[in-house]
Amino acid sequence: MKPLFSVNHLSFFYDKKIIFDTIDLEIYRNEVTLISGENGCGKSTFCKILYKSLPEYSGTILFEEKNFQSFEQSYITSKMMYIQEQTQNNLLCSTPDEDLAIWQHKFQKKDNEILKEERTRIFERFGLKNVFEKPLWELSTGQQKRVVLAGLLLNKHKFWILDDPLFGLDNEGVNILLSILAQQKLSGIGALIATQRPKAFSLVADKVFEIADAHVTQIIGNK
Amino acid sequence: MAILNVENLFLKYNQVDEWLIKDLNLVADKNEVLLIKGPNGCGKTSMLSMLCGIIPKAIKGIIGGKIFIDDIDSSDLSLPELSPLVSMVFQEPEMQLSFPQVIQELAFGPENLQVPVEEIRNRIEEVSEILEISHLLKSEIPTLSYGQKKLVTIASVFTLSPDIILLDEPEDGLSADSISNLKKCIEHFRRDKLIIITSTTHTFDDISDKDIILP
Amino acid sequence: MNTRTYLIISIIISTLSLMMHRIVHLSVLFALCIVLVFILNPTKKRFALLWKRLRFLLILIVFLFIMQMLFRHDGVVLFHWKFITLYSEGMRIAFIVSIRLLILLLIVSLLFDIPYYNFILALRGWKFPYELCLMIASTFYFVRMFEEQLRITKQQLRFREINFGKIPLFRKFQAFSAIIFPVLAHAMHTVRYRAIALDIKGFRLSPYRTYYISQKLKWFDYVIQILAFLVFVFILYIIIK
Repeated sequence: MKPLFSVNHLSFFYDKKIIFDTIDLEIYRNEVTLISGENGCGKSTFCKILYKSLPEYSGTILFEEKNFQSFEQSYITSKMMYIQEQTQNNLLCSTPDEDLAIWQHKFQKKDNEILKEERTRIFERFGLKNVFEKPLWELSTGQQKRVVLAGLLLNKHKFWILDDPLFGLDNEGVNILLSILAQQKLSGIGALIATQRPKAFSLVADKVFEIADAHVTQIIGNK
Repeated sequence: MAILNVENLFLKYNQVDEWLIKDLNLVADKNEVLLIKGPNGCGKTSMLSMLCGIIPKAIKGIIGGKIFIDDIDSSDLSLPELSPLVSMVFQEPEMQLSFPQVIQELAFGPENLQVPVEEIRNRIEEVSEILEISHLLKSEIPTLSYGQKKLVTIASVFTLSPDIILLDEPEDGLSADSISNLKKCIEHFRRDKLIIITSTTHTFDDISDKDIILP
Repeated sequence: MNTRTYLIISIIISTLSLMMHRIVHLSVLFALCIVLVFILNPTKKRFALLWKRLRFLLILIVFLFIMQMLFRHDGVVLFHWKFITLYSEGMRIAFIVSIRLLILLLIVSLLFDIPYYNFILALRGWKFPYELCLMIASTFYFVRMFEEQLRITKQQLRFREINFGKIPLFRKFQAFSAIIFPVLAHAMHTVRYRAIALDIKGFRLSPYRTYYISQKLKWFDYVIQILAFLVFVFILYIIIK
């Protein structure tokens, strides 16, 4: 299978500090790839680069075997979903229901019973049945994270880039996320996950890369 | 005489809601590490906010019961007056960082308590060495990663050095090495402090003396 | 440069801009503002941010310029075509109002970048009551937080493949109202929690505190403040004369 991303000699500097020094790796659409490393090593930066949120890098990135720079971000967002590390940066509206509804209608069509039913099922899956109409600022961080992750089920056709998705989640929340990832894998779509806890994903991960001292090493998985 | 005495504590945010915290009683002393566990939304952060005085002094809540810190009723003191006794590390570092540079953030707390300059220097050196953030002291906070910002907020409460330190899910965003350094820091300072940690994982099971499970 | 020096220069320039009534004087003051921006942390990022802020308000300034030109009917007729007549006084006032607004916007924009706590400390240095310091600092800080939150929201809209320009007109209002309230709420929430964070670390526990990092005015702060004051008095004298 051809890689979704081919990263060749990627280098990135931030505030005069080298974050990546000519790193090479491949990411496959049907695999769950983990990126781990110490605080400040560049995990989030890597995710942002692959989502075209940080355009200033050197090296070559191929996406679907074409030059990544040639794609507009609108194309990238149609193919991938990115969940940022900071939970609140992923939320748009006042309530979980409104927030999830936007994924469905994108203000292009009216909300209807079918869409509401779909959201109700998703909220039940994530244990948010009793709070989906509460203001988001009244929810705990873990509940807000579940709201953010609930959006994944409305973007199952996309490749997921998840930056520290376990942040704030309790055991139940972690298990829900793992089951969703397992289901995604069965349908042939994987994810790129930046995480401090790679062991939590041991049942679903295909490859684990570690970023250290501006270099990347593959520590688990076939090369 | 216990440093913390919580009697019949109740909390809810609105009249129509169920009680989030119901009839909580707790006695804890210095040289203890308490671990508060529970599922998402059970009230761990709310409980710490009450212990710190944020609820009801800065955030509205319907409360019942009493909190005594060092035999003083905490409702008699303002937030700044409580700071030498109890302080908190928020779960979200962005909510707590107000300074452009790391060293300013670490010095702020002891400056307010009129700690002598030499003592402030010693505290900053000690805490930043244990947490391994000495190389970040002159860094601009907006340039730090999420985990580094988290370490800075934790360090800033340890330099303040209140009698009771509250840590709200401190492991989130931290690497394994950083968590190990945090545990070292807790072990180093626990002798004359009460440290209360909320967590959804088993990260701090090995250093806690008592677990409180919220339903 | 100490925050108090920033504030003094800002107050002087703003006051002069309101007192000056000649286009030449205001243009010189505007040029001085630009020089100030060059001197104070002249990074590419800073200019980009400044331009981003002013660009939005320039539309308002252009609108006011046109209104002044069209609706002031004093002085000599400079231009006449069909129902449009431009008078000399209208042109003069239009330029004066526009340059004045530009100066005020530039100065206020510089103040938005002062860190929250430095603002409070500067005002406390002038013995303002704490609550007033907090109110003033929080107002400036809220605008920055609002800007930041708006940027995050726009980014999230892009990530969700939502193009505001392509939303049907009758749904635009729904979209705007669904999004703007959380932006405001989150900005206010952040400002509130930052103030709480200061309090739980003992801020305003006592009127006295230690200074590990000195907030005292340095010699060049005194020089700049004195110079600024002298220039202010001199210009005031010229204006009155």
